[in-house]
Formats: sequence, structure tokens, C-alpha cells
Amino acid sequence: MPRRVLPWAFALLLSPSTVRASPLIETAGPIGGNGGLQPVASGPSAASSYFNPALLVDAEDEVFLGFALISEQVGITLDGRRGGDVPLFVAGRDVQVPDPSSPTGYSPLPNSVVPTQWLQQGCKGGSAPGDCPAPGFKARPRQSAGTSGKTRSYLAFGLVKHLIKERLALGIYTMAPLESLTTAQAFYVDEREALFSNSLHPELYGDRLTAVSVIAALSLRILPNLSIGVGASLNLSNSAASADYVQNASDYSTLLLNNSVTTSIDVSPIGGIAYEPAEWLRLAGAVHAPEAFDIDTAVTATVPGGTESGTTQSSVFDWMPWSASLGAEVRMLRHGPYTMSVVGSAAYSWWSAYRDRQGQRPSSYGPGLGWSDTLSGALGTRHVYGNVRGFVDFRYVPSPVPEQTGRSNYVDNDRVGAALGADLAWQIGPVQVRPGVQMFVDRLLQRQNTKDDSKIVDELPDGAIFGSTQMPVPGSKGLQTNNPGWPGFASSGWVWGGALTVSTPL
Amino acid sequence: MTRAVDANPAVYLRLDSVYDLIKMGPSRLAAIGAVLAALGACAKDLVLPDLDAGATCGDGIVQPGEQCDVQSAGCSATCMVVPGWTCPNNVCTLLCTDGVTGDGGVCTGRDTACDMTGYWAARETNYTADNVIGQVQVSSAWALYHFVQTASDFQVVEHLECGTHTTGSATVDYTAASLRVNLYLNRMDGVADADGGVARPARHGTSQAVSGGCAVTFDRWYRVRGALDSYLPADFSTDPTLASLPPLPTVMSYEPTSTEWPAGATDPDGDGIPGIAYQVDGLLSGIRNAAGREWKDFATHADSPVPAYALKLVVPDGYDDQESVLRVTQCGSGCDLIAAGSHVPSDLRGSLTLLFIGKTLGSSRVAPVVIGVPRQNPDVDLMTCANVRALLPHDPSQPSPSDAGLSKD
Repeated sequence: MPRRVLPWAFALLLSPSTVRASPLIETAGPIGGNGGLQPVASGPSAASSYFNPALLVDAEDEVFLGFALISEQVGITLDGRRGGDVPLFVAGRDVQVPDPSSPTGYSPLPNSVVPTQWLQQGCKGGSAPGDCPAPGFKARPRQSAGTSGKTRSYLAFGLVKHLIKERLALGIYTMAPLESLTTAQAFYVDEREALFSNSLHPELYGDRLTAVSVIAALSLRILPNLSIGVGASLNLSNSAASADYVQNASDYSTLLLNNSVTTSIDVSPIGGIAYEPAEWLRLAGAVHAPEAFDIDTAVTATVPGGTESGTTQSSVFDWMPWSASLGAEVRMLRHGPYTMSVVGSAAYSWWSAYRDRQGQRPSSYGPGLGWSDTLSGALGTRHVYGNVRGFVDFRYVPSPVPEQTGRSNYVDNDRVGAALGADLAWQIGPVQVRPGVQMFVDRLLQRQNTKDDSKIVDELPDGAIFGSTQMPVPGSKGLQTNNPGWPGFASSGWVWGGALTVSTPL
Repeated sequence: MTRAVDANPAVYLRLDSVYDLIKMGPSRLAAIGAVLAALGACAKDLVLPDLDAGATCGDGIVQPGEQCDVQSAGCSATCMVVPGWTCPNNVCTLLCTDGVTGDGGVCTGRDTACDMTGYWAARETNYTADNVIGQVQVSSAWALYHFVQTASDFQVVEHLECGTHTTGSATVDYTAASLRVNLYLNRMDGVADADGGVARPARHGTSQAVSGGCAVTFDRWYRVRGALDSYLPADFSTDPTLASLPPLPTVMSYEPTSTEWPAGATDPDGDGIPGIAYQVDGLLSGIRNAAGREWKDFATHADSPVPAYALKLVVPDGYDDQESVLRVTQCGSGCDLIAAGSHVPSDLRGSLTLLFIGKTLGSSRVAPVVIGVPRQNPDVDLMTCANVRALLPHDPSQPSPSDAGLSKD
């Protein structure tokens, strides 16, 4: 059987595909077991299916159920603006801006530029001077639609079953939110977001914590002290097509719409290895392929004149990088029924290839604004006392996001965190159960971003004129921007969570 | 050994040893969780107050130190109200010297009932429906008129064409070059256009006292743009329909790569493309070069005369237009839509809005608007036109059939 499994496993490793990712599991850590924040090298359990499938052969056959809470509390503080408003004059859409590539020397001001006053106060619908056509332009003040401050609940389920005693084990691990199942909320991270929420959003939380993930893995002990494992995330990917017939551009209630959505199942591979050169030492490592949840939306619009126009927009959610993690667990103390181990681990993640929700690479915003790869680390202890076991871990996770001095407003922070948990094997008649509790808290360290005005898009360039009169537009000199992150912003906060679990031998 | 792991009394824990942690019951762990939850809930979004950047003249917001902040002849470049004007709520209007503003009332600026003599800012409002989705397009065309009235007849003695602005499914304006050349096309003062056109008799109108005010008419006037004057009627006195006139120049292809130059087309804006150029913006973007012609006339309804001393009066119109698209450029994949054009719906009538500026060039009322003697310097005339347009801004609101024929003024 192993001979049949291995080719399949390596084929998976060599053909990573873009699929639904697992940022939720990465953030929460393993639910159940004694892996803490370092499941790559510690605490074999069903969660090892994702974190290091090689450890599955060391896990006990079990089935477990867990209820978890994760709360993201990321506070964003926008600095006060010092002028820089886009004047009300642009509301007339009668502004042209210098354009050397145009035969006329000017081109129309892009429609994405709207008066700052409209964003902050709205524009009343009506026919009086200064009014907008009904129903008007809805106000969207800066940061009035922040998305952090949510606590979500989840259900986790896991299973470990040895197919060949001490040689081959199967693991299944899944985690699903109990509400807001699989949300995907695209937003821009530059001045374009002013047209929508006009707010900044934490980049690596929010909808990324609503992914449903199912992982299946196999682990094989190929030598008495060496095991390997492969796993795969089984997930959904979507494509959507919208064919529209526009009868009246000013009355979208008459729009004729044919939508088509295709859902398919993809897999993403995980590989792991564990080596125990001595009875008191375990070395382990795992590799995760990059993952993402791509939604390609094709929109085709037809108008009565017979013209068709279409485009395909690609959104990217839950992007996770290639990552490699290594860890070691060293048993330091054995004293009667008590044993204590020290665990250390490090993970390298290739965040420099990140794609945001609009499918853009951060480096597209200019030199020095691309993301960095990160090296994170954790240290902790494991304790076993008779039928009770527990862990205490500490970790440091640097942010891949550089200071946001330009157009982009990626909100992310370095994290320092701790986790602790314990469970107890408890015999109830003929049934053994293992109830447990665990919790973690990450502090998102305070971070200030100050914009460099020269890197911000001047939405109303100097030299702008009224197209109808060719007169200069007052207030166009200097920088005018609706970028919600200008002239700077700060962020800090907490991500914390906890879980209650129960497992029973299978 | 006893040690504190947190100075906060709420989470003051004593751990005698690592064993204590292991022995700690679920209730203690839950308490820690509650504390962590309370800590996490403290994070809030915040927007710090704007810094005092000082008043910025030109940002459209009246701030301390400014009397106004609007594009208007009544608001100076330093955001101060120009003498003779008033700018309540940042909307500037001319002030009568006797302090009476708005329609009606006795005003020393216009001291003879129904006398149209003087300088007037004019905005013609028309409605068309685009040929793609049928949405009503609202067009404003501005002009500066200097009328001289004798008995009940008045005549145009000076005139500037101040451009157009159209909103709806697309926004349409002249290009810079088109706007400049259009200043002096189709002149109405009895003199031939500088582009070699034929001189037409000056445009006339009538304004006479009737019961309840004044009956005002303004004669039919034909305009042609992007084509020779030969596409105008040979005999204006018969008020011919556009359909009865020789067809406008047409092309086989208006695509950007076309090189066709149909007979009869002109290039008034000098862009090397036949027809006069319009910048199309909004949901679509591109430049449309076209030959076009139109006529408009105006007359008050018998039962709706205008007030005798009105500073602003609105007169319903008669209107028709034709357009032949000769080329579309810079239009990406939307060239067909840019070229689609529009038609005049039968159920919507436009209007002419006239705003009295003053009687004498150089007077305190006229000087802030009419910057210099018209037709002496195009740059000066463009500034004058900008003032005219600011006096009577474009009203993009869609008409309803019930009030067709009258603008919202």
C-alpha cells in the first residue's frame, strides 16, 4: 500500500494549484491536542494533518470535536488631514487635466475622482443648485465602515486512524465558522477605496477568518525513527459570469441579468517529515504550498444599440504563501509521572509574492512598498502529569508589510503572542474521554505609518482646467487626494481566541 | 516559591510551580479568558481631528477668512465678494443697486418696463434622447448678448457663443480648440463670420408690454458647425425645417483610422479632422468630430408673460437639430457608442433663460462679468464666457413631461 500512496503524494506536491486557503487554521493554531503554537514539531493529533502530517503516525487513534472562538480587535487610527481636499468643482465633471499624450493636451478628469465634501457629507438628491440627481450621493466618512472588532465562533472536527499499526495513519481535520460561512470581501487599499467604504481594513484578518477548510493526510513511518506525511486541503473555488442587458443606464431596476456561477473542488498539498534521533528528541519540518481562493468574475454588458462590452475581474482571497517550518522538541525532565519538554520552532514564509484581494502585488505600488518574506519563531514547554497534559507557548510573528508611505494602505502589525492549554484523560465507565481547554492571545504591536506626499496620487493635478471654459480650476495647486490613509494612520490591537475540545479514542 | 505574573489585580495569579498551572481548574482558565476578552474589546477605530490647514481659497468650502468660495464672477480670486454681488450660501448673484435681488421688483439696473437693452447672460436648455438607451440628455448652451431695443423690437448688437455642456448617459463638451473657435461662429450681429461665411441679417426679437408683464420673442436662428454655411437655408424668411435642407456631409466610416473627408465638411478647430470636435466623457470617453446644424426660436406663452422688470426671465423654445458624425477617436472599444448621437424627443421642450447683467459696458454691474470689449481678444472672451456660465450654471436634473417647456428657473 505505501508504494501506491507515495507516487500520489509526490504528484500532489509537484502540482500545487490555487485553491481555498487556510489562513484561519494558521491564525487559530491547532484545535485539540497538545501542539500549542508549534504543531510542526509537537503534539501529534488530528490537527497534524495540516501542520505536519508526518506526526500522524505518532498520534493516538481518536476522534475529537471542538468549539472555538476567535476575536479580532484591530484598532485603526487615521491621522487628521491637513487640507488636501478634492474641491467641489469636480462634481460638475467638467474638469480636464494636462495629458501630454492627448492631441488636445488635456484629457478628462477620471470619473473615480469625486469631491471630498461628498464623501464626508454626501450630496443631497434634488434639483436645487448643488444637489445631485436623486437619490443623491451617500456620505461615506473616513473609517466609518471599519471591519475589525468581530468575534467569530467555529466548530472543529478531527480524526486519526491507523491503517497499519504504527506504520500508516490517516488524519482528517476540519474547521468551519458557525456563522458568516465563507465570506469574501474585496476592498482596495488605495484611493479607490474612497468610492466604497472610504475606510482601511486589516489586511490579514476579517474575511480570511471565515474560510471553511477540510484537510486529509496520510503519514508513513519509513524507518523506526523517521516518518513522512502528505496532506491536501480540499476546498472550493468559484468562477462567476454575469451577462447584463442595460435598458436604461439611469434606472438599473430595468436591468436584465443572467448570472452563472461555477464551483469546483481543488486540492493544495502539504508535506512533512519527522525524525527522532534519540528517544528524548524530535526534529520535524513541514512545507505548505501557496494557496488562494480566486474568484474570476466575467461581466458582459449589452446595450440596445447592439454594442457589447465585457471584462473579467479577478479577485484573490485568503492568499497564503509558500512556507517552510522547522521545529524541535526536547524532553528535559522526567520525574515520576511528570515529564517536561521544551519546544522551539521557526517558520519562513514567502510573503513577498503576496497578491491582495484585487489581485495586485504590493510591489506594484512602487519601490520599497513590496512585502517582505518573514521569519517567525516560537518557544514553549510541554508538560505531562499522569493523565493530564498541557502547554505554554510564546511566539513572535513579524509583519511582512513595510511602512505604508505611498498609495497603499495595507494594515498589518508585528505580533507577539502566547498560548496555553491543557486536557485530561478521563475514564467514564467503559468510555474514555479527553476534555480540554486552550487559549491564545496575540498583541498587535502599535505601528504608525506616515505618508510621503510625493508618492500619493494627486487626484486633481496642477494645471487642471474647466473643460467647458478652459479656465483654471481653483484649488488644484498642490496635493488633492481622497486616499483614506492620507496623511497617515496607525494600528494596534489584539487577536485572541480559545477553544473547548473533547476527544475519545477511536 | 510565589511570584506574580501580572500586576493587574484582576489577573493576579500565584503559581507556586509549574505543577500549579497543570492543576489549575477550568474556572480559573475561563477567568483568564474573560480578562483577555475584555482587553481585546478595547480596540476601536478612530479618526483624529483635521489639522488647521488654514482657509484654502478654491476648495469650494467657505472657511474663516473667506466670504465666498465658488467659481463665479461675484467671488474674487481671493474669495471675497465682488462689489455689486451677494453670495449667500456660497451662491453668487448680481445685486440690484437698490438692494432688490431676484425676479421682479423695481431695479435701477433695468428701469424701463419690457426694455431688453443691455447685456444679458443666456443659457439655452434643451433635451435630447441618446440613441443607445434612450436616456434624456440635458444640454446647456451659453451666450452673451448685448441687445438694443427700439420700440418693441430689439436687436443683437454684440454676441459671444460661450459653449455647451451636456449631461446624461454621457458628458459632452467642446474641446479647448472647438470652444475657442466657436466663440465667434454663427454670429448674430449682422456681420459675416471670420471663417468666410455669408453675412446674415442681425437677429431680432420683440418685447412688449401685455397684461401681467411682457411678451417676449426671439427670432429663429440657424447654426451650423463643422460644415460650410451652404448647409444653412438659402432663404431664412421661410423658416424651413432641417429635413428639407440638403443632407449634411456624411462618411462611410467614422472609425479612428478613417481618412475620409466628405465634401462640404470643414475643420473649424484645426485638429486635422473634419467636423467640430466634442469631448465625450462619463461612462464612455472619446472625441467625436461631427458636422451639425440646428435652429432655435423662443416665445413666451400668451398666458405666461414674463415680469416687466425681471432680472431673470425664462422663455420656452422651439428646437430641432441634426448631427452627422464624421470621426470618433480616443474611444477604445466604445467607438460605436460615442458615435451613436441623439435625437430630439417630441414631448420635451427647452427654454432660454436670460439674466440681466447691466446696461453699460464697464459699469460696476457689467465689468466683473464682461471683462473687456467682446471680440477683441479670445482669451478675454473666454473669461467672460466663464463668468456667463457661472451666472447660469448647468442644471443636470432630468425634466418631467408635466413641466416640459420651462426650465426650473
